[in-house]
Amino acid sequence: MDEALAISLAGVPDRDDAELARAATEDRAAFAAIYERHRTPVYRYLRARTATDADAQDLTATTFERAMGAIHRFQPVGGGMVAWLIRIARNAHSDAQRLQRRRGAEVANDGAEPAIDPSDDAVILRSLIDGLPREQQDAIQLRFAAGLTAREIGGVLGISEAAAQKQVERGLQALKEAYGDD
Amino acid sequence: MTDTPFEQRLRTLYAVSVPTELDRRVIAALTSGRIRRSGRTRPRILLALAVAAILATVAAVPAVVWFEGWNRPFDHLWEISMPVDQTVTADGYRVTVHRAYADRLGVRLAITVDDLDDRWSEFYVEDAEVTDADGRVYEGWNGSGSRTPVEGSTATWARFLIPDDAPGDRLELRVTVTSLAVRLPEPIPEGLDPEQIWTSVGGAWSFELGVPITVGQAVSPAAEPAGGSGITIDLKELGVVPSGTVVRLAVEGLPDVPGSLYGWLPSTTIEHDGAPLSGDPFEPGIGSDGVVTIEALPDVEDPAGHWRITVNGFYAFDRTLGESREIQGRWVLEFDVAETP
Repeated sequence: MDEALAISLAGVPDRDDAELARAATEDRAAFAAIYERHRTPVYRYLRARTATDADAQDLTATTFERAMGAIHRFQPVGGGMVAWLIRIARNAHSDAQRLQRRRGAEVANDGAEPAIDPSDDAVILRSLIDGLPREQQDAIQLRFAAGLTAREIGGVLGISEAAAQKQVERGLQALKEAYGDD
Repeated sequence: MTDTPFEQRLRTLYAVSVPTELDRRVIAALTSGRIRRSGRTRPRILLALAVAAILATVAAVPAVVWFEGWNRPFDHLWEISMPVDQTVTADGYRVTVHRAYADRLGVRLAITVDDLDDRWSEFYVEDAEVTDADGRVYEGWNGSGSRTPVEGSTATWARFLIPDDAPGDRLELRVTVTSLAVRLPEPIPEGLDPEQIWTSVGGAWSFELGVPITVGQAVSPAAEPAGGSGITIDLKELGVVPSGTVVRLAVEGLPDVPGSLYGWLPSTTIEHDGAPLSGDPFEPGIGSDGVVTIEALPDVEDPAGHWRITVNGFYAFDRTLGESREIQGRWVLEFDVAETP
């Protein structure tokens, strides 16, 4: 990280997201703190949904660029900052998929290339996740890739906390059954 | 709660580090300029008014490809909307209204924009105005769209609220796209102020169209008001239309939050015959009449059955104080809706 920003970040680690968002409308160091705080869930979520590291990096950069331009509109409801960022990331990913579909290219689907460890276990798990109904796949990736809580998942998907938890549990159950982990 | 071994395996599957290369890219963008509150320059009004040419024609692109696979609340609008297929070309931008639909949850318009001169790396409809023959203004509320052009085209589903005194059967509308958000072509010059990456192009791409209003069903079932913490919540109405389900709640007893843009936002859980529906406010906050309208999705075809509406709390962000406020509680409304004979 840029040294000047790293130094300025030292003064903001304890501020909450709403305060940081307000400060970020005027102060680039505050936005850098938002990036620092939330880059991992955003990147991991996008990495789970894309075929290559390069795709995930492009979409993460797009996500934070869009967030930077819209930070003055952030409201700390519906799952908070991380849910807001992931919603932007989902839209950026949808844009990319439409782009590929319109170009006639194969959509970069999850599992086209093993993202993490190309061992059999990882490949099997990813293919099983790819085979889940869309809502469950979403919930699983939001919980285990982005590390979101049920409330935050609800904020991303536009459903209640209880409904989000049910989707995670249904997805987990289906995965366990398919994987043979009872 | 601790993870099971299987859940740990899933976490490990996704546990990748953020590449330092990505950090460098984002930090480079941040250090290139100061972020300002305005976020975007005001639209420049170009010559669009003078040179606009209305071409009622079939859209040049296979629009259905653009409009499939959208997230809620736009996921099945293509199927229930009516074709419009009007195009206006001005200043090298071709704006097309493909489809329209209206019910009590608003007027929805499927719009694409083509940048005929291939000037921008991304763009989308930023603002539009909708009025009717009697001068009523249909306020724009939300939209969902793509920004990355394919063959010079991007797409947007836009939604506009229907005024209370609008006709109940058919709307005669004038739709004017007034602003496009545009992003500089790649490569973005290094060191450029981020505010200059996205700017706006003003114009007036206007369309006239008639849209029938789908009425749907509305019931006002008897439900015992829910009270607690000095707050009372009463069910005003349950409505079902093809684009969604509407729950209107009257809320009394909330304190003022003058520093908040939208006031209190309720967090709700809605269940119909045990199946969960999302429950987001249709418009943010509680209206001046003390009523909040919740849009519940996915839509239900028939309101008959058992309903349980739970308000889990109220949230507000006080901009004056720069802090979040929260009222926690649990207000539950339960009622049955009989089947229509």
